[in-house]
Amino acid sequence: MQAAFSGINLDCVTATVSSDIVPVPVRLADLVTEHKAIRLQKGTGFTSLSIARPGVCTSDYACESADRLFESGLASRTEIGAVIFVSQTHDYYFPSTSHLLQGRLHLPADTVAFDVGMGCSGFVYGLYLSACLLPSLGGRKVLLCGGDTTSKLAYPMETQSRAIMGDCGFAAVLSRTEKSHKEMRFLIQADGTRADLLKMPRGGARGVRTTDASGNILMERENFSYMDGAAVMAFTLKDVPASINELLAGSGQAAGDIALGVIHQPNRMTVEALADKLGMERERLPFTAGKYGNTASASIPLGIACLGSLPEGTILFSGFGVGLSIASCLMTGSETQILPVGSL
Amino acid sequence: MEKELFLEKLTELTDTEMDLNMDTRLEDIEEWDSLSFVAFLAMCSTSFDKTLNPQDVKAAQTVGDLYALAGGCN
Repeated sequence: MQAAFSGINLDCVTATVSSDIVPVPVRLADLVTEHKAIRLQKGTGFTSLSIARPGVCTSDYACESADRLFESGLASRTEIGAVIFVSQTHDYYFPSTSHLLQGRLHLPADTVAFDVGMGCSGFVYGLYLSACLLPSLGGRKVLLCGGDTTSKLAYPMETQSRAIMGDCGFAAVLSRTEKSHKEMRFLIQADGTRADLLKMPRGGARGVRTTDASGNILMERENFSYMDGAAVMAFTLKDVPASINELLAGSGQAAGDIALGVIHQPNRMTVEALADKLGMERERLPFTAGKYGNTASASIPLGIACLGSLPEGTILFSGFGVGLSIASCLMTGSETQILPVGSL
Repeated sequence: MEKELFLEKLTELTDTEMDLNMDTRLEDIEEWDSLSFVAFLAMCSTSFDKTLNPQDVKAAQTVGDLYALAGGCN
């Protein structure tokens, strides 16, 4: 579905990573030789990973990020009319994490609060939902926050996810103005027929994670996240550039018109391949996550925070992966304040 | 594409110290793992504009099979 909104502004963004940044060879020390770990670092582009400390959840990174936006004066708690928490690693089955955050962040009682269960495309889904909500909020703003702590779901006996997944949370505030030169145009696509390619088989209502008598998660494969890496790569190389080109065509623009693309960061190889497929120089579609890993729904806001500023002109955001899902946005005219990456 | 160039690209991609030729069996290349596998898909897509089916790459037995998939004549 393609949709355009005028007068929507991305006011401010920041992200928070773990205070524990673990070099990949240390993370994989029990699994592979140092030689192999260094080869993986080189291949994926991830030299270290942000690994959440015990007891730290996605909501803690989101809360810390939002608190910094409020305390720096870039946004105020009383002007928030809606809080959206986008994540696959919510605190509980219920209540929704957005309600916990409404309480922790002391947001107004008449705040609309809900969770969105999306991963790699989650930030762009959040932008889209914010743009949909803003006209109904009577001038108040949306706090879009979330992120993921998927390193905890990586199967400890395999390198595949363990070598790439990192933890991060983010917060952003969006507002609506009468200035019509500000535009956000979206293309959102879903393909549930390929849902099995990226999956957490247990932990929901269809499958309970099994534990021993002391409550420790058993080392059974289905208790951890699964990814068909080759099939996901094939999807990313074929479907994602086609989707971005369709969005560009809808807006009457070409890849050459994009001032900067901040896209999901599965690994360096994928980001560089997408730049090549779209015909963009790598500087305009940068790989920004080398120190932190693939942080799922936080990867785009973390990328923004790493870059520190957004240029004038058209900005492309694109998230793709679990669902399968592709969500892209062309943003023009936004005036965005960015706080540096924090840690917790 | 020239066979020599393909072998050079595959050697670089896998980061192997082996001397590769068209008859080298993939199972003998220690570095032909899931990482090399996805890197090969990416290389074929960006360098040769070939969208490969992962199943076909999985079925490949030798370096020559990969060369054929990438669009070379074996």
